[in-house]
Amino acid sequence: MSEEIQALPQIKKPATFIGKYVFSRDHKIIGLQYFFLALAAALAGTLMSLLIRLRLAWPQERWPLLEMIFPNGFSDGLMKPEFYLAMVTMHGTMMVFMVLSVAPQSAFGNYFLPIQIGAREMVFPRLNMLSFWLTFASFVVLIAALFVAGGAPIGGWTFYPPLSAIASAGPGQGAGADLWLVSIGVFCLAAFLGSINFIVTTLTRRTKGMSLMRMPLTCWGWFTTACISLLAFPVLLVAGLLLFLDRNFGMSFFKPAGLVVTGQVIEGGGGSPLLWQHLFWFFGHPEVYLVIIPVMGVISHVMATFARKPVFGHRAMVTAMLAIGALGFLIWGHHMFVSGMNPRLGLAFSVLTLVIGVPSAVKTFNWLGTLWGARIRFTTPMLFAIGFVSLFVSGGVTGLVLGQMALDMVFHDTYFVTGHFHMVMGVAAVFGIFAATYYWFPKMFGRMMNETMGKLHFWLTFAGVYAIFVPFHLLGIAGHPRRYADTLWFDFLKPLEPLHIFITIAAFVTAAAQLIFAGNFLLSLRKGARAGDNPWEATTLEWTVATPPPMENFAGRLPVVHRGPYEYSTPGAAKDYSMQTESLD
Amino acid sequence: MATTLTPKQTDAPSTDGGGFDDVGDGGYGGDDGRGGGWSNELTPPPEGYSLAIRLTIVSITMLFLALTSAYIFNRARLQPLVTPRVLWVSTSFILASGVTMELARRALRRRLEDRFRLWISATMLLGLCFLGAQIVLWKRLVASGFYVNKNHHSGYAYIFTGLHGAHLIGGLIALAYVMARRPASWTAVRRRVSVDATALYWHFLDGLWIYLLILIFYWR
Repeated sequence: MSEEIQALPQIKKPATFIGKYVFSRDHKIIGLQYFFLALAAALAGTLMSLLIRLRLAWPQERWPLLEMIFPNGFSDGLMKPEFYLAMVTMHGTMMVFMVLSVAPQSAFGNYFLPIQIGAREMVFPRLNMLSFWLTFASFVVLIAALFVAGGAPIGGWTFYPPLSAIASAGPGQGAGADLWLVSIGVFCLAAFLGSINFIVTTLTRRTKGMSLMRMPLTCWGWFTTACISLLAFPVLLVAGLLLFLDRNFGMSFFKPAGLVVTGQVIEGGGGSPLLWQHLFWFFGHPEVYLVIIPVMGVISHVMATFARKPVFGHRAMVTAMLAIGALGFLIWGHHMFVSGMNPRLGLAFSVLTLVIGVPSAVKTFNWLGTLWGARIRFTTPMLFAIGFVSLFVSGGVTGLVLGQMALDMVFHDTYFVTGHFHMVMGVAAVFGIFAATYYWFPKMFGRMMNETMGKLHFWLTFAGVYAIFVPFHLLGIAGHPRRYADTLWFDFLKPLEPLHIFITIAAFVTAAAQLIFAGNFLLSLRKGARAGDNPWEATTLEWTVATPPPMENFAGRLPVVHRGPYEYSTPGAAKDYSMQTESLD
Repeated sequence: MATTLTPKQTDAPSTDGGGFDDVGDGGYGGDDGRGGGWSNELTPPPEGYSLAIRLTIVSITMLFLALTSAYIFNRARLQPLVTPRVLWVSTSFILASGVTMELARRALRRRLEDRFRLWISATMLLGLCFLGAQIVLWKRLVASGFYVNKNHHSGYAYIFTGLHGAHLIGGLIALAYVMARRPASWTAVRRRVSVDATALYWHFLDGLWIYLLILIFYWR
């Protein structure tokens, strides 16, 4: 097989520090920028969740030290309920948008999509830079909401009107809520630009031999997610725009007539809060898939590498991803079963929701099929990948419960829902992010991460998240509503207090276990063992380039692809893996 | 970059809008699978522009569909709104601009540089006139008492026309770019594809305006 050698033009290398690391057009630097942005947001979001847990476990405890840090959030050392609600809102927003929507897609996708398809750059590098900086601006504006008069908004990350449409509805519903809306609007623009870049790059920049079905499943995940982003974020933008007009221009798209808030009749009216729910969830449900689909790609990728087997049912995996992405747009109504919708409509949403279980199960069984009979290498990324499957199943089955109208009537707005989505899209996706980090760290930074610390981190986190979120379900079955700041006001909640204390202790232990990850990360950056070009003996293109990849990814010439992405343990082959670039003869 | 383009490969005009035809071929076996084939370039492949603009149009369509469903949900059309005559002026401007845009595109294909510039300028001028007429429209609405928050209908009228105008300003920037950039600084194909992409976007805004005109002012 004769390789076509094409003389490649030089990529102009940026000369200054700012050009190289700040306003960079290199997809790898941009990927890292997104990665560290997500890490910072994850740190902030985790700290917020710990504050939430403190209040829930010990509502009457005084925290004078915390009062010194947040003078407005505490009075006499007691955490104010509105501060608790602000933390709930900001924790959700921070995690959903800045961590889960950024890390799997924008961070790892930007870094590895071009390399995995054999391209030297994204198609629109400047646009890529712009979308990072818009995301960064959105992050800054969101953080700023904590520091304005009244503090951060208290409406929850779903921001339901009519209260979110009225500045006088509570502290944080003034400037803080406006900043929240601006932040989300900017995030929508960034997501739009990013998705254009991903789709066009995937469709036009694949190297010779890289047919669509030869792309690694990671690339399929990023591609599907980009398609979802392209269609879902405009709807959120519209919702945010209308709410912003309601709040600041005297409109009342979401405010019903005759609304009384804190003893005052609100002017205007004639709108409907349900409109927000429709618009928000038309975005919001695809949103959970745009979090989980790139993670599914990463999990398949990691699993094939360490199971030393091709992904079971490669085509079915691709089809399932696309099916989940498409069906995700038809089921937003299952968030609104208690909104008084026609039961026939509810039934349709319910059936479509349960149908999502089919492609999800296809994926799960294919992961199990990949593991079946494999000589598994239990590295840290593999442990996190298997942990993901466990969490995805545990969180997924409660989705089947919530997807049924009759049951949802009972569980709606209880901790059962909170437990469900934290399992299936929260920590499952975080496990995917960890798997990706441990897996690609050698390629990104040139050194291996410490395996002992990694495994310790995995087991503590794995046990920790189950200890936190299984009790959530129990709270929900006992009828504990979400978002209540004080559990002692209600007799039926008092017996549940020990469970809250248990969860809080588990949360602190699990959060502390993340320090092992942080330590491992920092230590490995400086002292880790040097990684070769292909430390995991993997097959895809990112392992053919130097470690860490040079500016141009592929030195001198582009690779030519001859094989599918996961040719492990081919019978009769000399070694147990065949790189995609190895010719067949 | 021009030195590295091999004409037969990269300058062939795209007819399929960007590689969709690859779906399903290749697979695991054999070496017949192929990629996009544009990878030896650094600048966006010509079909990249046209694919990107199509995706943008899809996204903008979602934006206006979401607004339309909100408009219907709020039963905004059932509330009163005036229909100023200036609507016909702005509509004729934007329809005419669609024609001049097409003339510009054809002039470029026949390599009539002067005519191309003339028609692009005319398109931009008509676009600006349209925006001017839209401002007059807003003034007429205000004069009739239909402020932004008068009722849902007037609110949506401002949102729809405002968002359409904002996207049109984007189109004007694109037009200015294809006209201002020196022809020598990019290949003929790349230039033509850019103009085609801009034209597609412009026609989309054209059609969108007709849709909005009927939706806001004539659908009761």
